[in-house]
Amino acid sequence: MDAPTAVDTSGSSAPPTASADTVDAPVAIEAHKLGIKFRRNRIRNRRLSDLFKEEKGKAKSEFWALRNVSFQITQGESVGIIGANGQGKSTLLKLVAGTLIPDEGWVRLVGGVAPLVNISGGFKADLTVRDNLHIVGGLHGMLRDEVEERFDDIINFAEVGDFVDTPFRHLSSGMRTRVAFSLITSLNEPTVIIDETLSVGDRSFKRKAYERLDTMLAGGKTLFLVSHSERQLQRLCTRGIYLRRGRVQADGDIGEVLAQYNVDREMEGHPGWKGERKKARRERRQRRREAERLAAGGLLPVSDDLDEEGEDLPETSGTPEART
Amino acid sequence: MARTRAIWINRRILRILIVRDLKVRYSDSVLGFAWTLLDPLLLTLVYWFVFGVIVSRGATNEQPYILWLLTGILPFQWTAHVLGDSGRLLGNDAKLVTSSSLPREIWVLRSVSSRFIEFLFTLPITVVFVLFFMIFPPKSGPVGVTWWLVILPLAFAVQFLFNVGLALTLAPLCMLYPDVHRVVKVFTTLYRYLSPVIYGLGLLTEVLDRNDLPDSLLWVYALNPLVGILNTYHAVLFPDNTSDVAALLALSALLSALIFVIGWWLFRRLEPRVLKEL
Repeated sequence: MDAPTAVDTSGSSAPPTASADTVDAPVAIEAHKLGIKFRRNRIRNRRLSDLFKEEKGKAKSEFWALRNVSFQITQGESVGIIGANGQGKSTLLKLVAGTLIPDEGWVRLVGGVAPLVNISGGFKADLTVRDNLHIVGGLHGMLRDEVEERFDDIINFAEVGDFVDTPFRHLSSGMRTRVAFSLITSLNEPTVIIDETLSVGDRSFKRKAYERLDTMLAGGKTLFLVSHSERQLQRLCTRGIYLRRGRVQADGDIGEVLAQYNVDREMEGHPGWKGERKKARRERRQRRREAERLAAGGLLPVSDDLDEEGEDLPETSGTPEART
Repeated sequence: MARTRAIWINRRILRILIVRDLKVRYSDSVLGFAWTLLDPLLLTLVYWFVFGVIVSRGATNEQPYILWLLTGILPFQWTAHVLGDSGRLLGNDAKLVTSSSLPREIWVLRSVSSRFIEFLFTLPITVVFVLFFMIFPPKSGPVGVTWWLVILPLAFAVQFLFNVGLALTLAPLCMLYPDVHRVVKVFTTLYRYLSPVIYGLGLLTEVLDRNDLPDSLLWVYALNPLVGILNTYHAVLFPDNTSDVAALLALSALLSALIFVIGWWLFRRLEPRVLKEL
């Protein structure tokens, strides 16, 4: 293991190379004493001389968003990052994706990564879908031939067959995310990183999206997911890492970690997910009764959507969903 | 060194980015590519009108003056554009920058390179004017191309290095201190007159002689790397109005290398902080 030098304060995360040193233990992501700090106030470095000073000593306005975060993820694992708002989840994800540089420690990725993080970021509104696919695909490391080869699949999956030569800005926002999702998930990278709930279009597309993620997981890809949705986490992940105040509070089986998280939330006086879900169900029942009443009066048709739980998540077989 | 290798590995992506830049630039306006030619041409005409006709300072030197301007303004615009880009080249595409872990120097190289290609696209303007003056020689004497044409690629290389150094230095500074960007904007205007764009080193020597000042002051003036570079471009068509072409270009190369090293170092140093701001 020669790639990263330990506790490198300049935070170089050594270009991930799929070198031979990982043959015996197929590590996909490894973080070692990862730490990053931010300034609390929006005032930036006020003096030019700050440039030449080490950032130590004047720590008053600074806080560590993450510190001492270490973990190892083996290939094929699917890991969910759990935590309340502002506990460092997204920051961790950015560090893993290499779009932030740590102030302490290092993180190492074996092979490339397909980042489902602000997925339509690289797309240019003025260019056509075709041009965009070539360019963004290329930016994420796809070769020209690979894009050509998968082009039809990407377009079909995104259901934008008629808009291949339309400027990207003329697409609806749903179409845009569909195209982006379709492209990024076509990348042949061993690790997939997902930030927050996948807001990719309507229900039927969502179902397709989850099916695709399932296929990718079955194909041995590593998944690194940040989410607030307990259902999503349980659906996709086997392992959970619970972040609290920038530190790893728990790391283990997803169910257990979620349970611990919920306990912590209750203790801190927030309604845990269970509570929220109960409340949501109560409200839905109420709404339904209301609708029925109106329907009885001939005002509105009864929507058969209303009592279905978790409207934004398609059910598929084999989900550990029997908890309720 | 690892960085250099990472950039080299990603050179294909650099090419894609440059192609994208060019595509975007020409995709949405009616005249499209024509603007690449029209922009500097109109600018040159403005300068020609002001300094060639109204002030008529080109009456004695540097004839035909429009050619002199073209050989100065077109390459200067390259540097001017890079200076203009440097303030936003990380911020503008923040989404793109933060959605990939490419070596961030790529974004700098991309700006300098696509501006370079734009500059190359404008060179036919000069060629057309040279051909025109060859067929219809002006009163001031025939126009011809000198052997300095051969070292033109070297001058391009030096200016490329200089531009990369500038952008590496300024891009992170502009992100962290927005004031820098404003200063750079004003400075770019001033810089046009500090560099031998509308006048030549021949004129400067004359001015020094007239005021009994030592010629060595010229070397102080030449501490601006663009002096040696632009001097070389001018030398291709105006051997009489330039001086010490090779020596000045060597000095420029040295200074550019120095700026590049400073920029490289500063960029690496500020990169973590810039990423937090994006």
